[in-house]
Amino acid sequence: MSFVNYISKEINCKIVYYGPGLGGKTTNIQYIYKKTSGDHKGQVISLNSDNERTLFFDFLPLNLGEIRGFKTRFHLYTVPGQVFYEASRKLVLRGVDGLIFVADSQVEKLEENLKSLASLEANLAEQGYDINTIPLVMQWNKRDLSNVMSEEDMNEKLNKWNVPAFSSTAISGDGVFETLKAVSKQVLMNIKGGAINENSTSP
Amino acid sequence: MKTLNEKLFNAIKEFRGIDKIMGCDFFIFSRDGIIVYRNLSEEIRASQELGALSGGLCQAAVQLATMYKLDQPEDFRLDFSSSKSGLLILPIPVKDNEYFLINFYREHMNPGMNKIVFRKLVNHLVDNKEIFDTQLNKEFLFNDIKDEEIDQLFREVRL
Repeated sequence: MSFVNYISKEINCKIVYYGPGLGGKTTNIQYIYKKTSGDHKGQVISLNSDNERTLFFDFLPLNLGEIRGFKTRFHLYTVPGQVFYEASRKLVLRGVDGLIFVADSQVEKLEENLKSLASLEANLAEQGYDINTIPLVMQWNKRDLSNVMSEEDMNEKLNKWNVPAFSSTAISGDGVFETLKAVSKQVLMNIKGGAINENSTSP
Repeated sequence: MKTLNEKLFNAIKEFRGIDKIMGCDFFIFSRDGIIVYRNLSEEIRASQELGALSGGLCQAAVQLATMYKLDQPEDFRLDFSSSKSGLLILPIPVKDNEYFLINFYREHMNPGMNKIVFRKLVNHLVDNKEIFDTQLNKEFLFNDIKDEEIDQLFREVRL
């Protein structure tokens, strides 16, 4: 849940990158880290397996500027994509304010994308969220590869909610910030029920 | 209106064992890893990363306890320590177990006593659990945000 401190005028939001394994979620966060100036970012924390696959989550704190007098602080998380880490994915989704579904555009990955999307829908529902109303943006990643589905097909198969969708090549950064901006706008527009007297200290 | 941070500061100041804890490194954080109170030496930076890791650790521990069908995991402690150094996490059983306290210690003469004092601090906070009460705002904070405002927000951070 987002924390809004009306006294110090700070907003804290949690955005989660979700999607199938090896789809590019961690690459998104790494690119954002690389292209963000030092004053505005913390460390990337990655809880990885031995072969550098995400085990629990990646985390990047991002201190954006002010919007209408409120300092905004986004906490970016990724979930592990591999199927058997379902329990970890559920934990990372707790308190989520916005989601980016990172789909792998390769034709042979459609089934994995669909399974991951079904797991997202189920895990959100289990925690009382409605995928129809939570801020959600789709990212069709790996558009630089040759064997990719058309964007129209991806929209038809994976975007039944008709939410904003962006093409990307996370490894080179194409589409990465565009996707984040889109979900950030939705998240900020969706903030309500923030705890008025809740506060985080400013580390 | 006092912030949660201020209310925790006041409550901890009134804790009878305060002389035993003020030299200790500890902070209080939400399940989502947001640090809401800190008492840390200068060498430890109370970073958002520290909060995120602590939040993840607690969530995983509670989930494990739940999967194993252990009763009331909120009363448990999470202890990663040797005989003189370590970290101790105590759930603060208020508001659906949303808050935790973590204490770091090293080269401590009596870690057992340390744990007792922090358990008493948690009990003290639970006795004053109204400090964790929050007023929820039902209104949207922003009615409409223009793309230019979002562009401006990100313009400041990008290299």
